[in-house]
This record gives sequence, structure tokens and C-alpha cells, in this order.
Amino acid sequence: MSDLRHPFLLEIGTEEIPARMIAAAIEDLARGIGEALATAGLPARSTRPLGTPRRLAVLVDEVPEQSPDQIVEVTGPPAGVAFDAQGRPTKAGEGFARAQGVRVEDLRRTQGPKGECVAVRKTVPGRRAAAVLADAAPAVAAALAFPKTMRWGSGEHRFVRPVHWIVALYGEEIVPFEFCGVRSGRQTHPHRLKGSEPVSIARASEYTAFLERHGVLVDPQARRQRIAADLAAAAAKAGGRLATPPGSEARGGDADPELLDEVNDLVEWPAVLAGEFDPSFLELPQEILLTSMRHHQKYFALVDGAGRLLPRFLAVANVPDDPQGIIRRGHEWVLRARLSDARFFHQEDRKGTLESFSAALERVAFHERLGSYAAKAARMTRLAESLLPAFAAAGHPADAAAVARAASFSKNDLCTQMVGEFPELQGIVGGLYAQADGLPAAVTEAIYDQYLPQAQDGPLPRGAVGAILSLADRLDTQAGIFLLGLVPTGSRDPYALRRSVQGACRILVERGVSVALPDLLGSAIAAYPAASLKDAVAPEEALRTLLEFWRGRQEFLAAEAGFPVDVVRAALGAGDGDPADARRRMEAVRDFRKTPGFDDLAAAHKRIRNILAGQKEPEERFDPAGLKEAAERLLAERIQDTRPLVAAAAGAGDYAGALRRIAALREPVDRFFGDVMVLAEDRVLRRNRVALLRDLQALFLTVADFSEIAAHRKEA
Amino acid sequence: MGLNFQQLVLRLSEFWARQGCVVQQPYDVEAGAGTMHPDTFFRVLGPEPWRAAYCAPSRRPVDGRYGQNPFRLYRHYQFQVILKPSPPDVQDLYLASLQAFGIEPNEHDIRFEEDNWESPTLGAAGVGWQVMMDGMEITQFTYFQQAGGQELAPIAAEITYGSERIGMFLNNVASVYDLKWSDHLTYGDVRLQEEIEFSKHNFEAADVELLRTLFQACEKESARLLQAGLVLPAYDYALRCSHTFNLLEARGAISVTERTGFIQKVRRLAVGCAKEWVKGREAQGWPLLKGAAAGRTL
Repeated sequence: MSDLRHPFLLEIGTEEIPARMIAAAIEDLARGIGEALATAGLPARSTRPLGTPRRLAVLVDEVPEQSPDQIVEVTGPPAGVAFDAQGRPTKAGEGFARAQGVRVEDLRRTQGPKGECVAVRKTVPGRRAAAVLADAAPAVAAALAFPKTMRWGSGEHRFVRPVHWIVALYGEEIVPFEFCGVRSGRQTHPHRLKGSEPVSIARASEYTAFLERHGVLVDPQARRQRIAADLAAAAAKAGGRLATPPGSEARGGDADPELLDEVNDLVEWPAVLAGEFDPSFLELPQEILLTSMRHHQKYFALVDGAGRLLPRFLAVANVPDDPQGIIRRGHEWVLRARLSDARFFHQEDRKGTLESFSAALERVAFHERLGSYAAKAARMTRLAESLLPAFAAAGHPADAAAVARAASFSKNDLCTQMVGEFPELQGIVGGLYAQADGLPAAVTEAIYDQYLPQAQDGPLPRGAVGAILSLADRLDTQAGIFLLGLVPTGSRDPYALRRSVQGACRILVERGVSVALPDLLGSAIAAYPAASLKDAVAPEEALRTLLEFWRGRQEFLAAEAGFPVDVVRAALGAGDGDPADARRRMEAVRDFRKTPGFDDLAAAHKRIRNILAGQKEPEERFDPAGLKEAAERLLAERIQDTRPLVAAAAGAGDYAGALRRIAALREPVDRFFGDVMVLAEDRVLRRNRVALLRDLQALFLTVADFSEIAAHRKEA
Repeated sequence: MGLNFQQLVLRLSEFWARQGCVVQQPYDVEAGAGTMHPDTFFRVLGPEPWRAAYCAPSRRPVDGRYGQNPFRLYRHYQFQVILKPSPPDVQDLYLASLQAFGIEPNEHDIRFEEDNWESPTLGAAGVGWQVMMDGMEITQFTYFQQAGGQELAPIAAEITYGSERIGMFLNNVASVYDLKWSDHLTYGDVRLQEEIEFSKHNFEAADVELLRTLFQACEKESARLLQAGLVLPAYDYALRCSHTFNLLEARGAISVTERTGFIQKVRRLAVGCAKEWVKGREAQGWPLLKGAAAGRTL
């Protein structure tokens, strides 16, 4: 066995792969090759995913030349069959030795699962890395999963885009195989600007430097860094900074990380070009200009120190430079056309008020089986109204007239030309137009914010009206889709209902708004004319599945917020119909579980639950006079005293206080279980004791189902 | 100054004629896209090779803007190329075609960005790109995967140039109506009145009841002709259904729930025509696969 190691390069050259698919594909490619090598006994030092729109690649460091020899034992017939009584080989024994290519003398005896049998020990020679890779590379490439694949030419092959070349080099040696009708070799293609003739790579180790000489920055991270640095420099030179357009979120120092990722996977050799547009366009709302630049053009817009848009933009081109400014002038021409289009849409849209689009809303489909947006807006208006008291009770009073107005116009902007052109501006355009119509700030702000939160941890609607609107919209959609039986499963969530429920849940929890979910979702479901829906599920079934779905999302959000799983289960186990309340109980339990004696309380609750689970006694009130032992009388008294205190604390949302009261029961509970036999022979006695425990459990469940708490803090 | 509009169309025709394309003429039944021309819709089906190029007037009633919008037209001209099977160097051929009308690909930023295409009414779908030049979409590039409800093999590449946009870009004009059509006349001189009148017709004047009756009559006739084995005439009536549906939609006469039904009706006709076409060509022994014809079309 040799200790030599060489790098391995695999590059699959294709026509332009969709930007959104590249990152995942090269990760999968690198992982697949790495795993195949490890399985073959050729563990590599590291794998490096590389790629551009025209090539998916992986560079593997230090692959051993040869895998070690392996000794394997092959078992044959039972010893009693292979050898006769004198220990001489039989025909069967000789046959086995022949079949294995060994002499009869080499047969060994070994203990098999069914008794003693004969066996041979053979050395399987290690395989050469090149041979292993020739098998693994096409298999890994074929197993890459893309969201969409295609066929081309004769139609016999399928991949994300047509395959044109494959480079597969182990050190300097070609690893030979065929994939999608293409033989592997050492020829790759340079950047398109450098011609369509292939160029040859001598050895795998040269790959990134070789491609760089041929106009390709193949390392996505290096490419992204260069773009980010060039953008920052160009922005500074233009006297501004990069803007974060509506619907995007700044992250890790990038103003628009999603756009950066996208342009990064659209280029092999990036250059940042700075362009300008006519300042007269700045009269249009900033959101529209920003989106216009980003949506079709993938430009980075610039703002000044005060956040005001500058009449400039940055484009990332797939060329090293633009010496004559031809490309920049092209981009400026295109942007002028785009902005003129936006101005035209704005002028057309503003010929009437936002309200004037109401009639057209009848013809815009919310969902082909659930009717129009006009019907949705009407349902939302009623649902929003029903939410007013809950928001008021939580200290977020909203003006009923503003809510009704915002809800009834909320979807009108779907009929505007502007949203037709820029769907991601839905809500924002409605808000801007409502503002221009002179509607009250609460209404315009609510329409503007109605799709918040967007990202999982993105901002919520600013005001109460917006929060109510966002909630009503989400609940209505959830109700409709669940009525159609389209419950999200696994990776299939075409209506983004997980995000919808999480957003709604966050509004309730973070604004501290208490609701009765079963009633709320029930009325959202009842608002649909269920009878006229084709193939709808029964409303009760829709409600049941939707509540279950909400439960799952509540668990998810709580876990994301850092609550231990058992605390989440305990709190939701005592009631999951009011997410804000459940969250307050979670906080109390999380903080309180560190208190000494808490685990004993949890253990007691578990014990009570087990006892009650086995009980068939009808539920009835216990009779204090029927209690015999001192311990049970004490417990009954203490429950009696504690109940109003717990209720008062819980009613005031002071679950920590409620928990303190409950925890104070620990001693009488312990004494009760020490002294009293719950399942007494005497039926009256037994029923009374069971009833007493039921009361105690009900008291516990005011805050949480403590029996869910894992008792791992016993020693603390 | 760049080429005028008619020169652009002529240069593209010449370029693709040199690549062995049949240079066809526009089809004379109203259609929304060059894909609906029988020389694309039928010829991409089955195993026979085919190359064609033509200018396709594309009527899209909802896109009418009364001649007021500098970029949107009720009727625009696509320049359509079909190459079946798609040749391995199809992207290079495309880039070379840009040179034919004066664009030097090396001086520009030309990118192929994902853009897939689907036509529910034709039962057709494809995978491909929008080709962007310096940030402007100049071409739709599609590898057909299905048409007429059938999985395709071999696969055709469809290249659809946005003629007006390219012309405007070459001539640096801000409104399509200012684009030179010939040396003497502008696009506006030639087409503005048509845009105004048809926008009025499509949005305001078209008789909804008549259109509904027309749709039904054409649907019935298409089905009847198909029964009689007359595939191409049946397809003409299916195209008329499609255009009538587009007009009804522009008139705002189609409700949300009706819409799917209309699309399915047209689709049923298109799928039926595709099936019968393939049967017919097979019965003829795939004429373009034979001898000299096969050599010529490739």
C-alpha cells in the first residue's frame, strides 16, 4: 500500500444553471464524492464545493492512491458436510475450495451462526482511487437532486441543463467515465468572452488558478467577497451606501444578501458597474424605484446618509470590465425604460382612488376553488372586527372604523398595474396609494404593513390596525386552504402556511393578545360557504387539523425562542388554544423549574396523572366530610385555600405567582401520598380521594402539565 | 445608427436560413405567440427533424395600452426559431445570430437567466432562459419538454427574439413608436392607429355575447373537424377559441371560476390535435425521417 495522496477534481460543464440551484448542487456534489471515497476506504482530507453558472465542481484534497487491502472470510458448508468422520475433505469440501480458488488444505473451520462450518480467508486487494472515482463520480452526479431538470437534443439524457464537458482528474491522470453522453477528460471551457474553444488542465491541483487565468472565478465564496467589496467601494465612490429594498433584509453586513447571493451565481467573472438615472424619477415613491431596480434588473440601489434614494445604481456584470461604457449605457437605457414603465403604471393607477379598484377585485382570484379577493376582503373585514376586543384587552386598542376601512381596501392594490408588475410590492402599493388618497395614517400604515412579518424573525406590523389586518388575512387563508384539505406535509407547503401560522402566532404572542383559537379559527372557517366548495372537508375536520397544525407551529416557535422541549410540552399540555397565554406560562415554568422541590412537584403530578388515567369513577365533587385521614383533610383544606389565590394570580397573568402558590402544596401532597391509600377498598372513600386528586390536577393545569417535565434536575 | 425594424427581421431571416431553417411567413390566424404557429406546435411533436424561422405577430389583448405606453403593445412581433433536435452548439449559434444584426457579443454583458415557460392552453412546457443583454431581456430561449400534452423526444430548442425591444435598444429610442420601421417611416407611422383601435375594441367595444357564441361555435367545429380527421383545420378553430378567450378576458367578462374551464376546453382541443397529428405522421412513415428529406432538414 502506498502513502501517496493526490487531489481529485470533478467539473461538470453545462449550459447556464439557474442561480438558485447552484449552491445546493455543489454542496451535494462535494458531500457525495466525499462519502463515496470514505466508504471505499479512501478518506480525503477535505472537499471543496466550487461552481459557477456553467460548471458544478468539487476539488478533493489528498485522496490516497490506493485503499488498504481487506481480509475477508467466506464461509462454506457445515464442517460435518465438508469433512468426513476421519477429517478428510468430502466432495463438497473440495468443491467449495475449488470455487474459492484455494487448496483444500487452506480450508479453515469456523463457528458460523448454525454451528461449525468451513471457511476461507481471502485478501481483497485495495482499489486504486482512480478506479473508485470512475465508478463514484457518475453515480454521484446522477443522484444530484434539482428542483427542475430537463432533456435536450435526442432527449435521452436528463440533467439540470445540457452537459457539454466533464473534467475528472486524479492528480494528473484522467478518471475515465461517461455521464449524460459525455466522456470525462481534461478539457474545460474558459469564460465565454475568451472564446468557445476548450482548454486543457494539466493537473487537478491547478484548477482554481487555471480557471482564474481563463476568466473564471470558480470559488463562490471568493467571488461573493469580491462582489461585496467592489459594491462597497463603488457605493462609497458614488457618495452613498447600498439600500435595503422592501421585502429584503440586511444581514451580516450585507444590505441585500439575497440579491448578492443571486448575482453571485449569475456570473463567472464579476465586475461592478455604476450607472445613473434621471433625477426626475425620484418623484416616484422610493419603494417603487427600489423594487423596480431590484426586481427585473437585479441592481443595487444607493441611498444617502439620510436614507434618501440617490439617482444612481450599481449593476454586477459577467465581464471583467467595460472600457467604453457600452454595458453601462445599456443598463442606463434599460433602467430608463423600466422607470418610465413604473411612472406610467403610477400615473394610470392614480387616475382613481384606491377605493375605486374595489369593483375589479371581484375578478381577481384568491384561489380558484375559494373565490375572489373581493370575497376574501369581505371575510377579512368581519374577522378583523371580531379581533378588536382581544387587542383592546391587551392594551392595543384599534379604531373600529379604521380596521373596517383598512380591511375592506386591503386587497385593492392587487388590481393596480404596479402590483401586476411588481407582485412583491403588494400591500406597500396599497398603503402608498391610500396615503395619497388622504386616508387616515392608521389605515394607510395598516395596509402597508399587512403582509408583515415576512421573514421568520422579521418585523411585525407597526400598529394595532396593521396587526389585526395581518392576522385576519392569515387566519382567513389558513381556514380556506384547510377546508380544501390541503394540509402541508413534509416539504410540501405550496401556500406557505407554516410561515402564515408562525406570523400570526408571533403577532399574538409578541403583542400579548389573548384569544380563544378554536373559536377564532372556527369562525374563520365558518365564514366560507363550505357547502358550495367543491371537494371540501367537513368544517369540524378542517378546524381539528388546523388547530393541530397551530400546535406544531407553537412548539416550533417556542423551541426557536430557546424554551426546553419539556417546558413547551408542559405549558401547551395545559392548554394550546391561547398562544400568548401559553407563552407566558412557558416563561413562568422555565424560570420556576430551577426552584428546589419543583421536580418533586412534577413527579407528584405524574403520579396523579397515572392514578387518574386508570380511573373509571365518574367525575364528581368530593365531599369534605367524607375524608378520613389527617393528611387528606390537610390537602383538601390547602387546595381550598390555594385555589382562589392561584386563580387570582393566573387571572392577572402572574404565572410565577401562581406557580409559587402551587409549589407551596408540595408538603401536603407528599404527606398525602405518604399516609393515604388513594385506591381504598371503601368505594365512597376511593371516589372522594380520586375527586380530590382531580381537583389538585385541575389546579396544577392552571399553569402547566408538570407531568411532562423531565426530572433531570433532581440533583440541583 | 442601428438597423431599422424591417432590416432586423430580414437579417434574422437570412441568418437562420443559412442554418438550414425553413423561413416561414406569419400565420394568418390570430395567435398570442409564435409557439402557436402550426410550424412550431405540430413540428415539435414526434421524431421528425425540423428547422424553421419566421416573424410571428402576437396578439395579446390585455397588453393593449391605447398606444400610450412606450413599451407595451397589443400586438408585437416575435421572431421565432425552432431547431429540432436542439443542436449541441445552439447557444453559440444564438450568440452568432446577434452579430448578424450588429451586436458584438464580446462588447456586451450577455447572460442566460433561468426562465421556464408553460402554456396551459397548449399543454406545453419548456425549460430555459431569458437572455439578458446589459440588463435587458432580448430573447426567450426554451427547450421544449412537453407539447400537446405529450412528452417530447427529440427535444426542440425554441428561440424567440423580442424584435421591438432589440430594435429600440439598437437605435437608443425611448418609445417603440419612434423606432424606425424603414428608412422613411416609424413603427408609430405603421402601427399606432391599429394599437389605438384594437385597445378600444378589446377593452370596451368587443361584443361579449358574440364572443361567447363564437367560442362555443369554434370549439364545436374544432372537435367536429378533428373527428373527421382534419387536424390542421381543427387546430385553426382551436386557435380561434384561444384568441376569443383572450378577448373575453380583456373585456373582463370571465369570472374567476369560469377561467379554468375555458383554458381546459382549449387545452382539450390542442391535445386532441397533437395526438391526431402524430398518428397521421406515423401512418405516413414519418416523411421527414426519410432519405433526402432527413439530410436536407438537418
